[in-house]
Amino acid sequence: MAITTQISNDNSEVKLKIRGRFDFDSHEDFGRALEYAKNYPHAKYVLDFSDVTDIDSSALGMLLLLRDALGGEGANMEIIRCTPDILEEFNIVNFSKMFTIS
Amino acid sequence: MKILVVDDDLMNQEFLEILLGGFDHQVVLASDGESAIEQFTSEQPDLILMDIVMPGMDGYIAARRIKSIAGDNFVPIIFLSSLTSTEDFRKAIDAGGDDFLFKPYNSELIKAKIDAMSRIREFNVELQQHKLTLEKHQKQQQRELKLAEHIFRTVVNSGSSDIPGVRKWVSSASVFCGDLLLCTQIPSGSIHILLGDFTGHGLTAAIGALPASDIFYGMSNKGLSIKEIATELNRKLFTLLPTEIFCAASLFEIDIQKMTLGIWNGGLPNICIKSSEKNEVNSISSTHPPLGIMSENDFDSTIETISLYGNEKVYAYTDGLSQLVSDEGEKFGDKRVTQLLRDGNIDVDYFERLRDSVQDFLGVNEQMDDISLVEIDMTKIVR
Repeated sequence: MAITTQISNDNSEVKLKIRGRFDFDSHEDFGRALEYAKNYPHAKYVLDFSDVTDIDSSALGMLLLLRDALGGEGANMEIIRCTPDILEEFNIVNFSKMFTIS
Repeated sequence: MKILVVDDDLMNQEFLEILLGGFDHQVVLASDGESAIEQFTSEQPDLILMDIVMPGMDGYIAARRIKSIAGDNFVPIIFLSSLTSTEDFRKAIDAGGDDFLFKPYNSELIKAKIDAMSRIREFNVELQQHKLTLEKHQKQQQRELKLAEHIFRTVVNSGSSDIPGVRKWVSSASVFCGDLLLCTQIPSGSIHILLGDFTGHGLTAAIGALPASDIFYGMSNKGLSIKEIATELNRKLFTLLPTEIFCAASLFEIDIQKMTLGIWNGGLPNICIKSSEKNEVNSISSTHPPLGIMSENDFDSTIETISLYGNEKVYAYTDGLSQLVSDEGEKFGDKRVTQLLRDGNIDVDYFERLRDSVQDFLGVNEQMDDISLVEIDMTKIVR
């Protein structure tokens, strides 16, 4: 599992690309993104899930933490390019009620 | 340091005794393999200098025996030899030897090698002590965990009652279980069941089970509906738990008078209903986020209500079951559950079949997540 972060020059957009299993072991990697979000809570966050093979409840919890750091309901974040399997996982927990997922 | 010198040549013995004594080491002697083992056991030396070729038991055999007696305690063995082939060297290392000294002896080299070995031994002694301390702590922690778990389980299950027709299987991945399976009969005669799965597993996951069971039994005893219970559970868990921890859960209400089954499913896998009418299996999918995520105002307590004929069997499980991965990396999956339930008529003991199938699938692998399964057999509840 690895997370690469791309930040636009004006700090207004953050792109996170997550690879492999997104789970409990991703805490450390994801923690860095979370730290950044605390410093730039108004940036737009785009999470690219095209290479995520698996997601567990700990990872779902991390997404909730990021959402919180970005202001909760008003969070400007988007989860994109999910595989059908990952979309199904989001479906079960009805995360579309809290996140923009595609 | 106490050094055991093993050599059948008395000249060599004496030479080494004087030399090592000069370096302030205490020396004990043996002249063959058997007496080396005796001396090792009775004198407990810190290091051994061992000749290879001796009458009776040779140095290789003695080294092997001594290393096996020493176990985790590292006692360096330096072989003394005039043999110099690489094969001899290999044999000596295989027998448990740690180094070599060649005859004729060079006293500076002997001193240096003994000093180096002594450093490794000290390091090893320290390591062993750390290991023992760690093991002691671990044992103590396990004992405390087990005690805490016992108290915890007693509190969580204090309101639980066995209800005919409701079968439960909960298999925990660690001492504390993050899955929760509660059931009770409320004053009106209706039956309430809660199946919950907290984020992660172990103690952090289990902690939320205390307030959850308190609310579930407390409110059920007052005859409140699962709609109200779900709302309160969500409110409480939303307030108590940190953002990243939540509880995927299903609540069931079996109303025997009205012959209805009410379900609130937030974040658990599909609930399967097998009926005897046709050989089909209906699924009730999750329509809500798990408990503890939505604020009080945003929480949706809508219950799905199904009419019962009294011949249904209902199966619900946590994703520890469906996400189970086999040796080959294959997932157990929801489809396998549905398929298993389709196979055969209503009289089949699907509960046992499912449980066996999961256990077979897991094999000897370590269980990574808590697994729960509940069967609600309406034929035994509605009479």
